[in-house]
Amino acid sequence: MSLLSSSRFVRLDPSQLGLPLAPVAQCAVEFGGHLYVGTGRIGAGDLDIPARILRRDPEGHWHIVLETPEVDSGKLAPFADRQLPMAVHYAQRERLARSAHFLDTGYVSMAVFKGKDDPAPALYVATLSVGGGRLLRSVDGEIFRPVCEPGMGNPGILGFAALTVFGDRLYVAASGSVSDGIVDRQQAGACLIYCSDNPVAGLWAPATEPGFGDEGNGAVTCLHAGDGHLYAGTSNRERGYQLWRAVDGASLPLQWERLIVDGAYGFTSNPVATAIATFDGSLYVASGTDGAGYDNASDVGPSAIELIRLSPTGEWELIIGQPRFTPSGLKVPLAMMGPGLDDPFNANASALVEWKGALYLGTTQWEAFRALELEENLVGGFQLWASTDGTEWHAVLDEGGGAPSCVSITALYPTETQLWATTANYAVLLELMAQLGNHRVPSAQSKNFALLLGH
Amino acid sequence: MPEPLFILCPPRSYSSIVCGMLGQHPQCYGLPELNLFLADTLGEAWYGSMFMRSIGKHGLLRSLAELHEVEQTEDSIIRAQEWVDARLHWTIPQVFDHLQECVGDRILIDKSPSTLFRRDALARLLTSFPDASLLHLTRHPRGTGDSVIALREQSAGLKNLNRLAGESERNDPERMWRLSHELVLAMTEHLPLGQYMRLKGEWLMSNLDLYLPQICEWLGIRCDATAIEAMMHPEFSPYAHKGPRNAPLGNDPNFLENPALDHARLARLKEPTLAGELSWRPGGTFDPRTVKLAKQLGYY
Repeated sequence: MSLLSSSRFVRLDPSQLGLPLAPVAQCAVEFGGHLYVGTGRIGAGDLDIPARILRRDPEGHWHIVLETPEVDSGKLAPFADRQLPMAVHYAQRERLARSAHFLDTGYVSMAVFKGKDDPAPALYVATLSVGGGRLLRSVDGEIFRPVCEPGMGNPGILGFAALTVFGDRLYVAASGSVSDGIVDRQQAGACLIYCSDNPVAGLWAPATEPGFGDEGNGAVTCLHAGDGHLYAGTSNRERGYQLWRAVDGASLPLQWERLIVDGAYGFTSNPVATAIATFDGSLYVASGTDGAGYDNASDVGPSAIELIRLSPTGEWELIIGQPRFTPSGLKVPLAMMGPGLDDPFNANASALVEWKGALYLGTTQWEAFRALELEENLVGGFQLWASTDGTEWHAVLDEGGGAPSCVSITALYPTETQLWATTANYAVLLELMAQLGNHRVPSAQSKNFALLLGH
Repeated sequence: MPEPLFILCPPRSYSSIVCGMLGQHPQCYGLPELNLFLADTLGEAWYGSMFMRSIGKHGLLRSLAELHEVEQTEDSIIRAQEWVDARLHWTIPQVFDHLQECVGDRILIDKSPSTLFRRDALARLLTSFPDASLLHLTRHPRGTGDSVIALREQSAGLKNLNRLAGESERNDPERMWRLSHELVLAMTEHLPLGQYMRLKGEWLMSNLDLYLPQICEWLGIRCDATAIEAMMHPEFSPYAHKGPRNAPLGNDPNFLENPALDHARLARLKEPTLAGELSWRPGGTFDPRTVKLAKQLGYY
């Protein structure tokens, strides 16, 4: 069977696995022979759904190992989500007054790491939490305890993302912000990477100066360890994303070298670096916009996926995207595909990973929202693409694997024999937007995230 | 025959000197401003607006005189006018076909800013030449606006527009800049990959050795040293100097006065900023729509 064949993948719906409703699965990792999946909510129409960590044992049985606790609503101010339409804000506020309040709204990144005081590798989990993002640690996969102050002492930091092991440290990027009752999932409360070689002791330190010294950098959006370097991609809505790299070093912050500026000269059409991967000796960086194609909070976009390839010396080629003249020469997409893999609704490549000799790329495809506006049946949904040489790309799965409201592949996680993909299903948000906008309410088959399992 | 190259930009975007340079490539022919996409036929374009009845027609008259008689004199311009009057029923593509026959297998280059005056003009270009190469040339909105204001100050007839710029949005160069670039982006969005390319004029003018070969590579024409050296001399274009009294213009008046590259000046070329007061609108700053678009084009 070809590496690029859709028949390599099966779709698992949590409801068929006996698991409760959850619209978003954000991350997956293998720990102690089990697969762990972090779930969360979109933030509209699903406020009463708690974030959970799910575990799959080797026999294929699923369990909930952590469900975020309810907290006293008086401790959490009502908030509005800056990335959601204004009408949704108001509906959200009304519902928030009636719904339960949870400590964490999502478990969004996981890594297995052995710090100085860890007797054995432990499972680390990053959260999104309105009271300040948390980092949790578990040695047994059942009991999770925080290893830092909420928001590293800054309650304006909504969460953490991109947990990455590099050298003898665990790195994590601050993600999103909370301020004046507004949650902004895109602009970080601090554009910083934190690291620790001993998380158990709660010893965390910045690995960068804020924003790499550039006020335009709003967040570190992806991290990747490869080829002896730690790579960091940013969001920059003023000039386009940046890519930085550092070698391991004893002193902090690390010494960083900037490789890409101004969104690879796509400027604000390339506002966010969304995923990084090493494949066949080269570095691949995907970009686009976070959210549904258009960043309404910052008025940037619409944008669609671009993909570039860097050599170890930092020279880069355009693989997918808009041809252009640049200070480093004429760039023509080697895949002969324009932004979005020729699909303008492919807003970003939210996941990029090597598995079994191929590079896989999962997209966020927001055409369902457009269909809603046009009063049409839902269409679109995430796409999964793959390439065996990094240049020629083939569609493996599309249309959300049969569920157009399944807008995004949020993470790809390879094990020795399997490739897991987590997804986000926006059915509840689409339904709410339809009701608020007097549109025909779409009939989504499922409101659950799906897991894709590739063999 | 090769497909033509159209340079798309509002006025004051370096288009005269860029067209002059590209037109000196051995495989290209740079035209002055023809302004032909304002109508479907030559007659409608020729007599359809005050602009074309005055300076707008100089470019085509000079082109016809040069290509038909290898000289631009008052007499050859009169005969060019007679040629036009005999062909008022011709479609615009027919006129371009004729010009193409005159220059052989060289790539025709047109840079008429009037193509962006109205949506239907650009639509006409895209319909008439669906496979043409399109170079979208940009310049910082502050630089463009300051240059528009300065040019108007040189003309007794246009000075009044500057006085109205602060009172009437229609005469504000910022609006012209925004509408022109928005139009190009909207109407080229779905073109095949590579048919449309965008370039910051400041980048090109301050680093010709880097960008001229890239443009040649894109167009699929020679990029050897001889070809690049030829492009460094826009002053050798037959349209780089004032024409005879009955058709003196057809290009930016400043370019016609000083067509040679001033390398020292180009080396000092700096991009202005989006922040701050506008010279032509005291107390005013750029509209957020302009700022958004400018950032999309790589300006800050």
